[in-house]
Amino acid sequence: MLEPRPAPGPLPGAPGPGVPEPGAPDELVEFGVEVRSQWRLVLGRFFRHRLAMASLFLLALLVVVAFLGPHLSRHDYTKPGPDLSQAPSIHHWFGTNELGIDTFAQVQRGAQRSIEVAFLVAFLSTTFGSIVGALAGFYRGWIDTVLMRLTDLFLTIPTLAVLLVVAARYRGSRNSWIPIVLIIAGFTWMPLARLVRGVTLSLREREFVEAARAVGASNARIIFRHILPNSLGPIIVNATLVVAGAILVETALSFLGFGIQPPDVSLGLLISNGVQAANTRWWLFYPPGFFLLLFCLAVNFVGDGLRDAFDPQQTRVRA
Amino acid sequence: MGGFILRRLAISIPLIIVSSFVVFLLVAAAGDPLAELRGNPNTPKSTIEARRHQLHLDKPVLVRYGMWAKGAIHGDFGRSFVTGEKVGPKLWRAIGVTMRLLAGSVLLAVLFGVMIGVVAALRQYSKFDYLATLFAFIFFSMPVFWLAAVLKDVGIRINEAVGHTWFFTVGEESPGLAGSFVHVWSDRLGHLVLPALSLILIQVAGWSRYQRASMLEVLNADYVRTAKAKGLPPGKVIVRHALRNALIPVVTLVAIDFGLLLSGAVITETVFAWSGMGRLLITGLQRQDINVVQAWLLVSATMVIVFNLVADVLYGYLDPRIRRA
Repeated sequence: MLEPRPAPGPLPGAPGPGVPEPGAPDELVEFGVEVRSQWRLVLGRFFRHRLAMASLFLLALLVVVAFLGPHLSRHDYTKPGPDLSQAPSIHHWFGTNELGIDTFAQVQRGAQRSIEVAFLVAFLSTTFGSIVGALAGFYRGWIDTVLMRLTDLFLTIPTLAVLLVVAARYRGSRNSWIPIVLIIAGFTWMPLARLVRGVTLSLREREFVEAARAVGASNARIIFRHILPNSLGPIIVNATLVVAGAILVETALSFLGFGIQPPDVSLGLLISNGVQAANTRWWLFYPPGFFLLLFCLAVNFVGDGLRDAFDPQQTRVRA
Repeated sequence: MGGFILRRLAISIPLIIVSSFVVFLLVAAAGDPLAELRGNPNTPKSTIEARRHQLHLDKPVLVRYGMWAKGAIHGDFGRSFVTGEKVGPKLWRAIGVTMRLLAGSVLLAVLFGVMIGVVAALRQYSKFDYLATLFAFIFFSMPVFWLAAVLKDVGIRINEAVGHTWFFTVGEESPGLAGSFVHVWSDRLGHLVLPALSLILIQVAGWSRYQRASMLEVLNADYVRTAKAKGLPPGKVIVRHALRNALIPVVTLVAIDFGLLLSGAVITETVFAWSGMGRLLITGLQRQDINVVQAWLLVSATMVIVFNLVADVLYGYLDPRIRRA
């Protein structure tokens, strides 16, 4: 949105986006055997991906630091202390701000908020995008036309304009983060809807869908039990991109003053508060930024490992 | 080809109209442009009323949209609510500033992105490849404004260290800039370095990945094997047979991204206090200055649509198989 970013493209190990694997006919969902072994294959490939596993570990560590850390710390992110504007020390790992609030405590609390925003946005926009895409691809005809024109419209409306305008209404409220989540989710579902529509268009012609229909499965059952589970590869990979993207949008909004509002804290808010101090009190500006960078890096590498795991046939390329 | 372009433009026009209508409603609902005036207890009621009437705020939203649209069709974007300036010239100035930032940055970013992508693909799994990958992932995971602010901070520290302004960190030119042509443009170039660098780093990250993937795909193609088998020198195979084909998807991606960037590298412009398209939007939104926002929207939506079209036309031109399909 803000500055356009093409998807980072695959790592060495997997050129090409996650394409659903052929095979594993879905009528076997009911009997379980085949499908479970396909999932085991995917998971096995993922667990063998060293970089992805290391990133997953880092991700877990960051989440633990953000959510458990504050319970073990003496400092509170709201309570000013006697040490004003101190550089990092044994007592204050990341220093303190001009009110004497411990920066490390603030970073932990901000990370909690940012992580909550990221995962909630990813969940909502993935659910909505998949359903819109599956409906459009499955029913085709006028439903497809209406849903896809709607998707186009959402793509033409400048996301930032809507985010800024709507976010302005929630300025200064303590629960500002919930509307922010809804708004960001409302403008990140479109690429996935297009992707799932494309996958659905090809899946609906396959024999296992025909077989399901022949045994009398309803349209809803075909969509939710047969088509969507078979599109899970690209959906999951896309969801990881949205997690990282949502955090970046949240920070950008907070920087422009339209995101999370004080007294609530988020990483974006902390960085934008620290921008002015970057030159004199660097500890207010750099720690939240590095936390954010590490988190997004870990998420992106995990996503890349998942793409490899779902899409193994393109792994090795001989030039 | 002409028919195709016309058809595509015809589909886009209703989209722009609906989009401009939605944004108009949103901005109109966002708040009261006269809040500041009302907040001052010394303002007489009659002044507020007069201002309301002058800005047509006493009319229903639909009527206001109609009035705006009528003007816009005739090329009149109205006046800014806040300063009373005509929006048209303001818009042109902003486009000029943003173009100055984009022209060079995009060119350099394409150059570096393509080079890094091609080398990474040719030496897949080499040290260079892993380094390029790491670089791409780092800049892809970095909030734009944090990167911009870090560059600004580093620039200021260097300036302090050498005791002399090497890097300009505020604005697109020095205030009150005048003098010879050379003087003016060297000053502008100096202001360009840091914001351009932050744009380039992020675009190179994305485009180099894309170029690498596309190049890998082409290197596996039968016609490249044929070219090698018939004994062409490797350089010729890479440049004439592989690269030319691998560039096709990259060129279209760059065209699409350029259209998006024209609506303003909002964050970069804000951090470095450039008064380009991005800033125009932000300040317009902050003051509920509806005419400014609407004009910005028209330009940005048109650019996105035009450059998407350019991408499609280029694709068809570079890869005739697409045209026939």
